[in-house]
Amino acid sequence: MGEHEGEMRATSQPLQVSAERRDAAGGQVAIVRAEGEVDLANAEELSGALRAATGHEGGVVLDLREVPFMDSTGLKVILIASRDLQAPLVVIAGAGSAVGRLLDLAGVADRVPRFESEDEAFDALGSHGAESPA
Amino acid sequence: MNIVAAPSSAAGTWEIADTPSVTAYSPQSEHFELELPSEPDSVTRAREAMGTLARRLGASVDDVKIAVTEAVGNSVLHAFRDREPGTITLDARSDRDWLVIRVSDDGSGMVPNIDSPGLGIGISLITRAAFDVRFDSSKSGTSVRMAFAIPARSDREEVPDG
Repeated sequence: MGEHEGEMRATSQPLQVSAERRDAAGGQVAIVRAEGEVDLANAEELSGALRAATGHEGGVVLDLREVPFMDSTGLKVILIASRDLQAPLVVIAGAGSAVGRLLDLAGVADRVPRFESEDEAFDALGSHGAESPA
Repeated sequence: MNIVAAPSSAAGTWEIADTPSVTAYSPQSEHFELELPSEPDSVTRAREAMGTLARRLGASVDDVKIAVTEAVGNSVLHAFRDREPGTITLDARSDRDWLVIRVSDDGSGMVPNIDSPGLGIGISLITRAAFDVRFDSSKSGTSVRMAFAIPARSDREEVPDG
């Protein structure tokens, strides 16, 4: 790994965010995928993508598996989206990832449910949609 | 977890004696210093540098990166509000068991700010990611000192203390 000073470069991987929609059991779901590090220099891009995902009654899946690092400004964007969206938001993050560690340290498991695969995330949204009393 | 606000007169001193089991730095200990301008890109640079150091020493790379990012981010966002940009200094030292990183700025110190974006989240992350955290704030700047454990490694010869 980078032990040479020359490798202590400032260039982080630029953040790329894409979105798609998919029909699921609880209605149409927005999938927002982020790729690259999220910090105060670019968290606003993530915020914009999540705002654009409003209006999907089935919820939002935020895929952070390709995000090697996220800071509190990124977390705050997610918490605000989770509060403001009219549908549930769930996150996909790899086991043992820095994003997973951030979510654990922040203690937000109740507000930002986290899963390790797309299937699990969609299952969770589907079961949420079926939660209405029988 | 201790959060101690030391008196501002202690600014500039480097107090390590009360971190558990750290009594002195040996001649073989590491000392790393980095000065950065107070701008958003410095957050990334500080994170990369300290993450690399943590990996080499065997400390938790994620925890070091999280805490350093929040500390530098706080300085970038808050320390130089309504004044000229300044300098953020990272000072990292290690001995066998601890990596101690101090992030300091020459900004306005911690002042109450109701518009503060996420300051509470950042500080709580620092106190959870690092073992022992000290904030030291005065009119001439703020420093955050954070200690990270370096777990024993099997490839390292264990020498009893004392």
